[in-house]
Amino acid sequence: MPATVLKGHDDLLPARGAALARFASRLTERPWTITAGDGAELAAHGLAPAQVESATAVVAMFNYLTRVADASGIELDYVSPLPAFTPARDRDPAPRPDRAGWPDLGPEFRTLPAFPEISDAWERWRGYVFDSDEPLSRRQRRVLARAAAEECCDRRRADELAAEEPRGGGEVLLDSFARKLSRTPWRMGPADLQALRDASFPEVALLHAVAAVALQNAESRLAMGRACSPG
Amino acid sequence: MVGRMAWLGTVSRREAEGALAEAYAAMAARPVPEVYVPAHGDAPGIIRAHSLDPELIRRAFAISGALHRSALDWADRELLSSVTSRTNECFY
Repeated sequence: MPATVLKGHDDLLPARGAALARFASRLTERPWTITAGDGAELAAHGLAPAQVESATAVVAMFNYLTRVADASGIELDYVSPLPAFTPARDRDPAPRPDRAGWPDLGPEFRTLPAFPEISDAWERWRGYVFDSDEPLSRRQRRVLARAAAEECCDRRRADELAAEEPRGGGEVLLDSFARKLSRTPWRMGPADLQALRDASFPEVALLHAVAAVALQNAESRLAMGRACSPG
Repeated sequence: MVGRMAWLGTVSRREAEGALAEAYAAMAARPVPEVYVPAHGDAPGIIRAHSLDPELIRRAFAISGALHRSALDWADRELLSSVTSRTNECFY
């Protein structure tokens, strides 16, 4: 099964697995298109509401982890029995809809009610990444989150951060970094972090910039995935 | 000592002290399928990528660890994470 997935042949999976694969793919590439119909399809394949919520959380978390991997340049460091996966770095991202077409999802969608322990841990993580004052200022974190939320077409979060337009060179750099890491993480390269380093951001601030962008991508997908569940 | 792993500064397990050494030890104590244990003996790259801030390691990986105890089995979680990585054109 894993080799089938890596080759993109999701249609060869058993029906339940194919439904999960479609959900993961769409929530990652076009999260703004997720609707209650996606939840109904997963339910039709026997997935309980808590399992759909869990699936959403896994996809959201991997949208964090893959962006950290792409931005930091880590290498594959374990021996996989699977065929090598070659990223298509020239692939174009999905076109974004006009702002009027962005889903508007409130705070109730940014939690995991079936898993209070994970939900609480997520909130502690979120507070640390978005509300700390060092090594990036809270304002710089909000500039990053605003750009990432816009790239995810997350209307509520983008509106919440609408006043955080970049002002000045350092913030413009952060905004550009966030947009690239959100929209085309597969095109990240060493020059992207170096540009921030050259603007005198310390190394640990680079890590927090990556984390803020990656977490906003995760949170926006958490909200959009949760919106497919009834109630 | 901070080294440059690939593009971002990191601290290896051998060089880690204090809070980072404790964070690495806590991560190493978690049950992980054998295939995901790197042969080089250092912490996995995705954890080392966070090593300039041990608190960030604790906060971020508290989620990934807890997801292992949620409502889906290992095969479903692997399927979802593999499709997510593939869709993002990422090897991880």
